[in-house]
Amino acid sequence: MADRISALPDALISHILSFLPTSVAITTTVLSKRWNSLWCLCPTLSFDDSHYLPDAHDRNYSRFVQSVHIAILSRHCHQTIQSFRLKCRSLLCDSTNVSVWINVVVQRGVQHLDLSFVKMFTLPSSVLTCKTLVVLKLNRFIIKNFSSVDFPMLKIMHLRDLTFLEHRHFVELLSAAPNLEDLEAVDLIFFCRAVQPRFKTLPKLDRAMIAKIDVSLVVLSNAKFLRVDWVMNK
Amino acid sequence: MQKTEGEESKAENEEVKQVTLMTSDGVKMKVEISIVYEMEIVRSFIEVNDADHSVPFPLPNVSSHTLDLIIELVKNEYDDEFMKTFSHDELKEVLVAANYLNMKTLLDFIATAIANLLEKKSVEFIRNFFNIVNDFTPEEEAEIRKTNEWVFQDLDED
Repeated sequence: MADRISALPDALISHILSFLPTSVAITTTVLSKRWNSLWCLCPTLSFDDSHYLPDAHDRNYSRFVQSVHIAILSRHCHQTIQSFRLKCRSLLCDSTNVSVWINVVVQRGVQHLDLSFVKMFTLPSSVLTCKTLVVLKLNRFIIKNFSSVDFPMLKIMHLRDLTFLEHRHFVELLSAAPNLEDLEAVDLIFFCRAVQPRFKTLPKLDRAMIAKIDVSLVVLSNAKFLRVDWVMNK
Repeated sequence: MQKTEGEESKAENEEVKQVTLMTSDGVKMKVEISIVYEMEIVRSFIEVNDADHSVPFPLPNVSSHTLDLIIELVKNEYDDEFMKTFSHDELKEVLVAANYLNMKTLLDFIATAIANLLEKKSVEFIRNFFNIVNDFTPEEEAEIRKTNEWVFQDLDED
């Protein structure tokens, strides 16, 4: 037994690493020659800049930015990045870098995208046509001017604190996800309501949590678990 | 074995069906079919072959002790407190077995538990945990630490 364990297969080790923040997974490069390249097989990337915040100087922050760059680029270009989680609480975070990272992981077939910021960025339109997405969690983004949206595989969509230029954009987002099972929509702002959008039913919806926005009940008609915190008059 | 309420309707057809599993140390264990169904490797065999459940299904890579732990974990719906009583070896044995038996929920549960255990632990602790022999020279190791200096800042000494 001891022998079998000391030789845990690469796939099992990278599976364990996939549950760790990327900065911790990278510490395993020092364990041994075999382990040195193992973390690169790990299909998930997870970053949180709060580790760098206590003395949030520019230099410290640029190290965080650099580490995300290196982690993404050190993966082989044909390797799928299954999951990308990025939490930035610093105001030093800039939109150019964020867009580049998001575009790269979208190209690498990301299935699970979880983005949370303090600053408000415009969501890169590549996310909206990312057909591989199964889980999409967005916190603080502006969503505007997109030409198409397609989420054929999407099952979980959690939207928080988003600003939509037009109400119809939100409706289009929902309509593009026919397989959605779990919807959270909290604190969404719609600048313009000029076009009266038509909501479609979400046939597979199981769980929905709606707060402080107006959504047609048509969308929610299939939900088995529904929580509505506050609905505007319509 | 006790049935939970939700399983009663199913049990009407299946009575309390059990499958006999034969572990690597030669122990025959009767296991409730709802638990066996989480083991894809056994499930796919049973479903295809409509097998005689009294003939033991061999699990040459799983010991009776490990199988006991797995059955308890599944019965307790993956209870964190119960798992915290596991030794490091038991954790790894259950991990390897979950992978072999193709039990996805258990595999993710135990991999997460190991990840949580290793987070913030020193390099030496992790080497011990996985029985890793450090084959780097001190110079090589120092070089790697230097390249990724930013990740080695706040690790426990143990």
